[in-house]
Amino acid sequence: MTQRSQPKQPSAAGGSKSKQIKLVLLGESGVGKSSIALRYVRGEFNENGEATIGAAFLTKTVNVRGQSVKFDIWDTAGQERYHSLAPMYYRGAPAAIIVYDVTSKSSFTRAQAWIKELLQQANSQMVICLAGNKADMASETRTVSREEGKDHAEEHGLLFTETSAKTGLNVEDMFINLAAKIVATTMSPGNDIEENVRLEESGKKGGCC
Amino acid sequence: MNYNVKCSLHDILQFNIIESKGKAALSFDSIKNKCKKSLTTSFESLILRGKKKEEGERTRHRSGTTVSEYSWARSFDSSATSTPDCSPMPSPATMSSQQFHYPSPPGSPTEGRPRSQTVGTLADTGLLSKKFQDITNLGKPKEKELELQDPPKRRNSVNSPMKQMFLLVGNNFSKKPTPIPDDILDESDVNYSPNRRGSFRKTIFNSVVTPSRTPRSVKESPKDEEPNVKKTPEEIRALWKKTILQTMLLIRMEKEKQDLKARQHEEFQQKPDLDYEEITPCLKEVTLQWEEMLTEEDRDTRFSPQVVLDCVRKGVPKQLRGEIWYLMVDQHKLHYPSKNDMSPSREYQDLLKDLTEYQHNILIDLGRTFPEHKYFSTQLGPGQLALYNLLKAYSLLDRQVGYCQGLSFIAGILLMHMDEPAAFETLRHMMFNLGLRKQFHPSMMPLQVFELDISKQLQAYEVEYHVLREEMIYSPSSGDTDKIKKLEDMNQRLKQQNNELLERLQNMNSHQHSLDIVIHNTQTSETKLKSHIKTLEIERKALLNAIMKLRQLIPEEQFQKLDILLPPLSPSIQSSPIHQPKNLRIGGNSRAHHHVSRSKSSPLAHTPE
Repeated sequence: MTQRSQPKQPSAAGGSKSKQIKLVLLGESGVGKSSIALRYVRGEFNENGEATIGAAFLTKTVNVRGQSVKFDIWDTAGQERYHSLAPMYYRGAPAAIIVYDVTSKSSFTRAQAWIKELLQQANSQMVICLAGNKADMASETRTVSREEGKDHAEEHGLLFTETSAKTGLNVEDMFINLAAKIVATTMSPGNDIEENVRLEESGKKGGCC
Repeated sequence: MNYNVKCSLHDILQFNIIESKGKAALSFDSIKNKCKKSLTTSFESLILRGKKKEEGERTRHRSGTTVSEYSWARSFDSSATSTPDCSPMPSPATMSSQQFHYPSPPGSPTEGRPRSQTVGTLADTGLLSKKFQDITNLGKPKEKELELQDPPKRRNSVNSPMKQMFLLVGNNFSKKPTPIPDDILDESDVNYSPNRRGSFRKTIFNSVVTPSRTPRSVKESPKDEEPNVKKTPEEIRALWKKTILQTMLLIRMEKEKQDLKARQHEEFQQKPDLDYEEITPCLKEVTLQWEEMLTEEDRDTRFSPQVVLDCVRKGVPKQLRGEIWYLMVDQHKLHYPSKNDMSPSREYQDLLKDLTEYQHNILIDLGRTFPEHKYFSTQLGPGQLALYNLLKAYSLLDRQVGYCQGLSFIAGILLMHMDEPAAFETLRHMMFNLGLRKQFHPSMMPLQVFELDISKQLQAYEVEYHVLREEMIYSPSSGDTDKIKKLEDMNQRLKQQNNELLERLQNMNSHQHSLDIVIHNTQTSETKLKSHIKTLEIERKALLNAIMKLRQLIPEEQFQKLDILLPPLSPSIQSSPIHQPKNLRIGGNSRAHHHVSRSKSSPLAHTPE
């Protein structure tokens, strides 16, 4: 129809008010990625959650420092098998949360591999948070110490927190901190850059996934 | 027969109890002990064998012991919920185990062995061997102790379901472990406390061990006696009695096994797993059609694909779903025999014996597959065990795919409708012959292609969406603008035209008004003129009268002389008075007066002529 004749002209108007942040959750199978997403978006916790196949998508809009921020959360499947799909989700995403289970050493190892991969392959401005989940179980069965996680995060310049999707500990804060950091980095160098980011975002939103 | 068995079983236990309390005759007692010793040794040897059979050589008599082992495992569960020390009566299990331990040296590990046998098969996992060590290190050789101390241990292990899972499913050699339906036990063991059921069964297991072993052990016992004493008739009688009782026990076990199988089958028939909501119920008519197909004697009968398709379209009844799926698998194989070679051919039972590298992945997902469904919700319940077995078997069958998240849901749905081997066959069929396999292939290529395709489409839609949205917000669409422009142009033109017309109309109106005024003026002037005419006529009449009078005054002769000069007075003059001035003018002003009077008088003059 006729609207195709002028397709490019209106694209600038999309990001006028709320800032859209694509966020991807990565980590080993069963560490609680979906639970974190569910806790944050709906404030719920389900002990008997189903395994995520492929990926799940959730959104939530919050206000960070007066700026309305809309999270597009891509909750990926954890099994190694789905690894090959992960780039589709983290490509172009300005934010990522890498989750491990504080009671599982192997999940921490996996998280380290994820960090490495993101630092190499994802965009350099990506804000990454390392999250040690299941902190509510830490007193009994912790195998990854808080320092271990924190040191590793600091070493690579990542945000760090220990969360519990079950109790809700630190979950909200983690997302807010991420958003704040993104808002800060995109705002500080001036409007031009922010505009660039916004354009880049709106471009990738169509292209990547 | 059944009744007899029950009685004898009861007898022997009673008998044993009495004996263990030392109330029987001494000689009898010693013989009895020796018999038992021989039994215990045979039991020990069996366990030693059991320990050796890591390599899977043990499968031979395994099938006979599976059920007992499982029931043994159950005994822990049941005792965990009960408090053994509180029971007022010493339970048969406790007594019988005491009885059996009596002859064996204290601290002998034999009693713990049934467990080690189970655990031994799991030696590959560090966790479990550790657990096993824990158990043995506790230094409780007596089964009673084991029973009392184990429950809390198991309870501790609850927070690590993996351990429990290993305990339950790690035995790769057993067939599907099915819980023993309670009623079977209730029927036969009415005399015993229900809490003790498992322990009681364990006692039977301990006394019988395996069918193949028991008779030998009985035979052995006389040999043991020989060097010491010659058999007295009582001894022989006791031995015989024992033999008979053992045989009866054997028979009973055999029968229970059959009962169990029957019950298992029955349970499957009832399909308690089909606990999900049906969107649309099936018509009876289709159900009958399906049943007809399913009851077809010859499994090699090919049904027309069209008929099957028609039936599928009409609906697949929930109760028959599993059977129908399996029928479809068979039909597919019949219709496309060549495609069957695609999957590696290994038997399900065979696959269950091996270990899979995907164990961890599968275990993680067991609790996350249909967690709300009754069949799968129980941690390590029959549903999850079946799921584990099926996924493990498939991961071993198809090494390339192994286990992939997502498979568990497919497997789970199959298990809701069919038993493990059938579900396995169906899964194999779906994966290899129906092309599902490539969706789970490690490269995920089809999935990526699929997603890329979708993302392309999405992108296109998104562009379109944005365009539309922007247009909606900021301006009407371009097509409409043209139209509106045209319309506006037209509108303007029409407005102009309208104005022009209005102007003209106004002009016309004013013109008409002026014309009206003219008309009015002329009308008034007309009336004026008319009145003027009237006055003139009145004047003329008066003048005519005057002329007449003047004529009368003129003499006749004079009148005749003047006759030529005077125009004749015609009646026409009367009818058209307007012409009169003309006539008058023709007559000349100076003489007019005269003339008129003459002409007027002329008719008078004529009349005499």
